[in-house]
Amino acid sequence: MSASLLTEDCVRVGVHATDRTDLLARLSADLIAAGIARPTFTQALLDREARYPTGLPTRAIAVAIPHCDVEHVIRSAISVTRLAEPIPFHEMGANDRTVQVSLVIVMALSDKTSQLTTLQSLIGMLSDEARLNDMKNAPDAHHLFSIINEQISSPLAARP
Amino acid sequence: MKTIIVACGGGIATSQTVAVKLTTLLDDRGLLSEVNIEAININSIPTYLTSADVYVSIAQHGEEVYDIPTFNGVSFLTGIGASEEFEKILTALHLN
Repeated sequence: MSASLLTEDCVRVGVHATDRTDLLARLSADLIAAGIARPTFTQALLDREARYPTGLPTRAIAVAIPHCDVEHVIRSAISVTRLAEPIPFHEMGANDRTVQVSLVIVMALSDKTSQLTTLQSLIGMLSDEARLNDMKNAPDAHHLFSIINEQISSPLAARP
Repeated sequence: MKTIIVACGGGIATSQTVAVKLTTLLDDRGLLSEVNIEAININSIPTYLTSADVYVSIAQHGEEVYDIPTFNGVSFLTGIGASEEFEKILTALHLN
């Protein structure tokens, strides 16, 4: 049985960051320390974000979903960070636009298919305004974890 | 059979998610048997160009412009403008 994609210790709220690079470097370091990602993950994530940005102008709260190639990951996991103040990310598919992101979901994926259903549930949340509001307003990390975990644990309910 | 290609930087996560979303939307219209959807890495686009009818883009690819109708895949992730974009895709495929 595979480990859960999201654990509560990978969910944080009220995080301060000076910019995208600062934040992604710190989140990468946590994933490396946890044995989830390889040491090459940090640079790979930063490079990928620079080339193929992941900021999304979603309703209620703007989200970024940084990720990189599978060879930099030991086992699949995601980390969820809600920022104290938004920081600019470039917009996915439109590198010349920026979006003020407050929710950063780093997707560390060790292969291309095994977690696909879970990922679809997760990304499905991003077009659901009510869920986005819930994530924006969750009072603490535990509540934020519960909202996301409930969604990704019942993938069949996620069909839009 | 029409073919839609969906491409992102890695051919992982985002393109596959958009492909599933498109599958759902096509299924709701009863059009699933008419369309083949491929989620691919952006570097593979040239390989698929001859067989594809429509390209749904999630990653900007610099100066590269392809000679098939191209649509905004990000709208299927955010939900904003998704139904309009879907109708445009159907029009390009002559399915509506």
